[in-house]
Formats: sequence, C-alpha cells, structure tokens
Amino acid sequence: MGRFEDLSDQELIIAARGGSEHHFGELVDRHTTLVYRVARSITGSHEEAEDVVQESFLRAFKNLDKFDGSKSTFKTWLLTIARTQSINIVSSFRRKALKFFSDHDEDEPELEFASNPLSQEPLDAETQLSLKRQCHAMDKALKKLPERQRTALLLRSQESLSYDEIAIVMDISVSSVESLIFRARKKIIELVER
Amino acid sequence: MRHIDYQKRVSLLVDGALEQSSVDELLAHLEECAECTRAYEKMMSLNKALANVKPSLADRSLANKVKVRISGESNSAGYAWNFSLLKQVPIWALIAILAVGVGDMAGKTLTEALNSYDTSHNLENLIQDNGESLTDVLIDFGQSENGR
Repeated sequence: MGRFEDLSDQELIIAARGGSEHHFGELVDRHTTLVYRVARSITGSHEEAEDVVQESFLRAFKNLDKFDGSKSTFKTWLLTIARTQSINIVSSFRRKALKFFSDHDEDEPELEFASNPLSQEPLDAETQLSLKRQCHAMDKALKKLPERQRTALLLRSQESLSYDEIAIVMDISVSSVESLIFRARKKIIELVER
Repeated sequence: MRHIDYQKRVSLLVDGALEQSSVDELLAHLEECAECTRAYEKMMSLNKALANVKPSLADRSLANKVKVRISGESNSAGYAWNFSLLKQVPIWALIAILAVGVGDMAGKTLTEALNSYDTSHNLENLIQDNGESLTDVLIDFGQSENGR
C-alpha cells in the first residue's frame, strides 16, 4: 500500500509543486499504465510507448507550475502531453527512416492483454484459440484506423474517458469526438467482418 | 431521419452519452428497425471486445524508470539553481569587485599583497622579496638555504 493512496491527484500536485518527488512518484504509479496504453495505441510500438511515457512524465514534472486544475484534470493534461509526444515520434524523420530500412514491427513483443479473457476462467483449447484470434483481429483492425479515430475510440472504450475529456485531450470539439468515435466504430466493424 | 443518423445516436447510446429525450425516440426506432438493431448489437459487442485488447504492463519497472529519471532531473535542477543564483549577481557588481581587488594590489609586491596584515613584516624579515615575484623569491631562498 502506498503512503499517498488516499490523496487526490490535486493534493499530490500541490505537494509535488512544493518539491516532493515522492508525491509526484505516486502520480507516476497511478497513471503510467494509462499513458503507456495511449502511447502504444498511437505509436504501435512497445519501445516507443515506453519512451513516450518517460518523456511525458518528465515534461509534466518540469511544467507542473503550468498545470491549471480549473481547465483540466491531471489525467487529461498528462494524456494531452503523451498524445503530442506520440504523434511527434510517429511523424519523426528518424522513425520513418527506420521503418523504411527495416521492418520495425518484427521485433515487437506479443501484446499482453489487460482483461485477458484467457485467464479469467478455464476454457477449452478451441475457445481459447478463438478468443485469441478475435483479439488479434481486433488489434489488427485498430491499427488500420486513422490515428484520431483510434485514439478517440480507445480513450472512450478502454479508458472510459467522457466525451468532454476526450475533447480536451485531442483539442477538438465534443461534436468532433462524437463523429470520430462513430466513424471508428463503423470502420472497425467493417474490417472485422471482412 | 436516415438510418445513418439513428446509428450515430446508437453510438452515443452505447457510451451512455445520449440525452434522455433522444433515448426514448431511438429505442422506439430500434424496436421497428432490424438494420439499426444490428448496428446497436455490433457496437455493444465491439465495446466488450475492445476492453479485451487493452495492452497491459507486466511489471512496475517502467514506473520505476520514470521515477529514477525524475529524481536525476530534480538533482540537476538543483545545480542549475545554484548557478542561477550566481547569474543573479549583476555584471557591474562583479566588475566592481574585480576592480577593487586589482586596485588594492596596485603598487604592492607579492608578499605585501598576500600578507597585508600586520604580521607581514615578520615574513619580510624571513624572506626578502626585493619586489620580485613569488617564484623568484622561493628560488633565491632555496638556493641560499642549499648554499649554507
């Protein structure tokens, strides 16, 4: 059990602004997985997602004074930083060059699934294989979506962010979020059914 | 309203983001429309499936790496703060301190400059500098000591 578990993000931020690394450490513990998942969904790479997580927290720590709790929560502010970092990595010349000269995805470790249906109850081998196929088909379809659609859909369906929060993270209007999520759902259903 | 418009609302319904006034209208449409009902069912199962493809972190090592980097950054920021204190001293003040220091040494021999306190005459008696530099004085002193 952490010492700061009962404190809210806002309380931790106030203490961290006062110079407490330990309080910021609790924020790191709370949000690392979330930032990793968002970064991974955008970059499609485990290593790059890890880099994004480190850079995002470092930026957040350095700019903690600029965080305005009246405009957004720490979570949405952090996700905004992580999304920008991820997009920068994806569009960087270095990455494009690496992709061109080698098939970067070959070295990717197989995805570990958070709510892995395979581990929840004993299933026969055939069902396990079928579920695994479904998961991979879904993952493959997700990768084919444009970044904005994928991010909006995953922030809603996996991270349970509200439409308002997604709008803040992606710096777009709520109606654009609605539209992106709807189009993402239509497209992914088409891709999976093919 | 077209099916596509109803299906946009279905997407909102799946997320619990549809206004109550529109929910009743949509549910009434779904009772009559097989196409939109299929879309609703597919979107619901898609939501469940997406929850299953959530990549997870197997251990806490990434969070620990982040904390180590922040700790390192925090320490280097401390050094930067010390340097920034020095930077806060106005340049004219630094020049003034240097000028006073140099001015204070003007016209003095090295021994006088280094030993301006009242015991300097004792050292003068021990080592005669005759206005020479410290190196010359020490060489002369060494030679005279060896020559004894």
